[in-house]
Amino acid sequence: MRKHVLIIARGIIVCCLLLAMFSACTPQSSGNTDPLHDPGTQSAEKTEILLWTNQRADLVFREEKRAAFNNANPDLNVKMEVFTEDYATTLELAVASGQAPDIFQVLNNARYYLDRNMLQPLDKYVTDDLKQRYGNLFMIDEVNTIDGKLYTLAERGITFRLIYNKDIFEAVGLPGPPKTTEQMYDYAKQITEWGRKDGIYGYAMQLKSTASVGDRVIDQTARRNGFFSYDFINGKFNFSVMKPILSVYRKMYEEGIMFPGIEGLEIDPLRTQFAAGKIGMYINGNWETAIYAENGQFPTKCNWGAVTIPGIGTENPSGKTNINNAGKSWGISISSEVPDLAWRYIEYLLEDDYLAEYQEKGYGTIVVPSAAKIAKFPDMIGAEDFAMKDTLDMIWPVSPETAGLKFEGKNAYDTYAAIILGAVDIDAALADLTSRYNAGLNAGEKDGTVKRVVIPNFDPTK
Amino acid sequence: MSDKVKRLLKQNFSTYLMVLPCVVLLIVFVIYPLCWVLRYVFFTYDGLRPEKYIGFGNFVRLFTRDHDYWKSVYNTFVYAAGKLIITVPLSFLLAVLLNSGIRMKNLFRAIIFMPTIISTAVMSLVFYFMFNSYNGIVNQVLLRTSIISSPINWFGMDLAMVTAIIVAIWGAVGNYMIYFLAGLQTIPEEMYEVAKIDGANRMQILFFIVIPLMGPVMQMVLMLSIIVALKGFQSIMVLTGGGPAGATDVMYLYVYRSFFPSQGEVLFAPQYGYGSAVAVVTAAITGFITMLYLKFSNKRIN
Repeated sequence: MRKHVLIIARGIIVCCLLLAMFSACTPQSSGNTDPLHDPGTQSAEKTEILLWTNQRADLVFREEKRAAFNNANPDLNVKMEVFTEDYATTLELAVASGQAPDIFQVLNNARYYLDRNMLQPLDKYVTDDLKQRYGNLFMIDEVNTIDGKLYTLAERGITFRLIYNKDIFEAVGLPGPPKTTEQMYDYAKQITEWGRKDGIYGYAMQLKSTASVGDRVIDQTARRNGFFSYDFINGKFNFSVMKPILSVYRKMYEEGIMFPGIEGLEIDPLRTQFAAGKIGMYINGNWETAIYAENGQFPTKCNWGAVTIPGIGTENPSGKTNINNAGKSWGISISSEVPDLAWRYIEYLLEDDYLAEYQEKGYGTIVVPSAAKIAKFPDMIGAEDFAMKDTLDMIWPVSPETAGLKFEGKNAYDTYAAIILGAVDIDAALADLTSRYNAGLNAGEKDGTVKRVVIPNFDPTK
Repeated sequence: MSDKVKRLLKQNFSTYLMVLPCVVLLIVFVIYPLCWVLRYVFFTYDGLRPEKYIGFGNFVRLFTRDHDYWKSVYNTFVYAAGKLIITVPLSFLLAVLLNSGIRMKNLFRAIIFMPTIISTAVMSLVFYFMFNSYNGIVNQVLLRTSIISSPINWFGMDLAMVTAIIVAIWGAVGNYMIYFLAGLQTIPEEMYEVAKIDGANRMQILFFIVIPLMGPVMQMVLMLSIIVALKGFQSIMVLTGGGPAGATDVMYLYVYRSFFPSQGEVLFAPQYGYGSAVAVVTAAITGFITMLYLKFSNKRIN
């Protein structure tokens, strides 16, 4: 009898262990929980819509608007979660495991999401009014449209400028912000020589995040000067053109002009030091307007401004920087069971009034033509400096390395970082990059996995 | 089913039942992923399009063209050696000290063990700020005490690996100290008394009684620490991301990046097939080193 009781007891313990083990496999929410709606008080008739975003800079604004939407739409409960680190990987894993949100922020071009079966087309929601509001930005091939199907819509764009501390420039006696990369080097050197004893340096970059520097600083400087590592006219890579840009930064690093410890510097610590008046210049996007505002993430008392990215050997470069994220905003996940309700919230996010308020509060520059007409620029430092201008900014065509190109070895951005730090020979490294990327492009084209983009009349100066 | 099997099942039924959850977990989280990896080493696969069989193409690429991987292998050995050379003797010394009759030894044991229970990512983030070359507290203290006259670039090309090793030592010492403490407490008191009666001093007792008797424990601790050191990458991922310019890139971080190559908003195509080949070769290297160590240490103990 005792033996039977023991066997039953052991069996119950094992069952409990198994139950506990498998209950851990059920989906659980992650990221930020909704501070404004306690799930416990949610009423049964509300439909939940889950939205994922990568941006933390505009979180306060988006949360306020989300609460207003929920209050005005008693049948819906929109929840928002923020993933700034590893957003792309987290989203992919969520889609693969069937735990994707209903709406997510679209950061890459549509092809990326289509290949991974992550987005639903939005064509059935398109109205004439929407088309009219968007004008030329409605459908941009390979950016938000694939084979005639629309997957996301334009919202805002990130413009890039050289940010500089006016107080430091004045104190050093510099005539103004640099117009060429040669001046940028010279001014940075003067600032460092003047301010080193007080911990003030001429130039900084967030080199711990090599992709951030590569994409926002190196690539944008190239585009501003009318060229890029991918030759759109001939349809092949040529990284040797990046040498003049990388040489300037390599020289700054070797001569100790750069802010110390850039190897381990992330963008937020960089912003902290700029806000504290310790950095003369750096290049970044229009997020800085809200970041350095009085109620921003790193409010600063120093006088700062933003100017166009310097030219190489010329004070009037004729190229244009890329407007990052233009043409993309929000998408409806392929697995969403309530796409029509999800579209209601996306419509709200893309209303002219919403977008205008977004810009007026300094969170970013709106590209939607109908909203841009009514939106004013906020009375915040940097807002007008970062404003989109036809002479300075454009939406560049999609190049193969952003469309699933597979190649061997280090990516371009890690290589740029190695060049700047003096770890590799610049010519050899750029030649090696060109060879590897072109080999990947040739192989991808042969497999049918990557499209060779050729635009014979491409001219980024027009 | 034969009578013997039936008898075994009947006798050990509850044992098999108790082991069942572990076996299920092992199959789901170890055996199945292992089989998946061993299959995909012979394919190119990006998780989107159907896989393409390429035979030994991934291995050819790894052994003939991927210099960055072999640099990461070298970095891993440097990291492991640097970590072990200091961690193992230090943790043994601490165990010996805290096994003696000093006051508040339990408090010291708890404090030294605490890093083991702190999340590696959180710990590494704190050290990232502490070793910040511009205004980190480490440089501030060294400057104020005049040990250095100018800030040290702890995350520069020359010192990033040293910084990673320091953080690894801090995180590991407490763990191995506990193993050594457990081993020390198995040494009978009579051995110490007999040694004292024979006139041995404390250093002689340590080297001629304690260390020889701790042989099997040391062998186990060293084996564990070698495996952990060779596999370690979490703290490096937070501290330096494998940089600058690959100076702290280690094997398992390289494997991770093959599967998850994207950096923030910038997306790169994953290469699961090649990543699987890298993972298999990395595991083989780790296993080979461990087996080499076991063979060597068994001879020494015998």
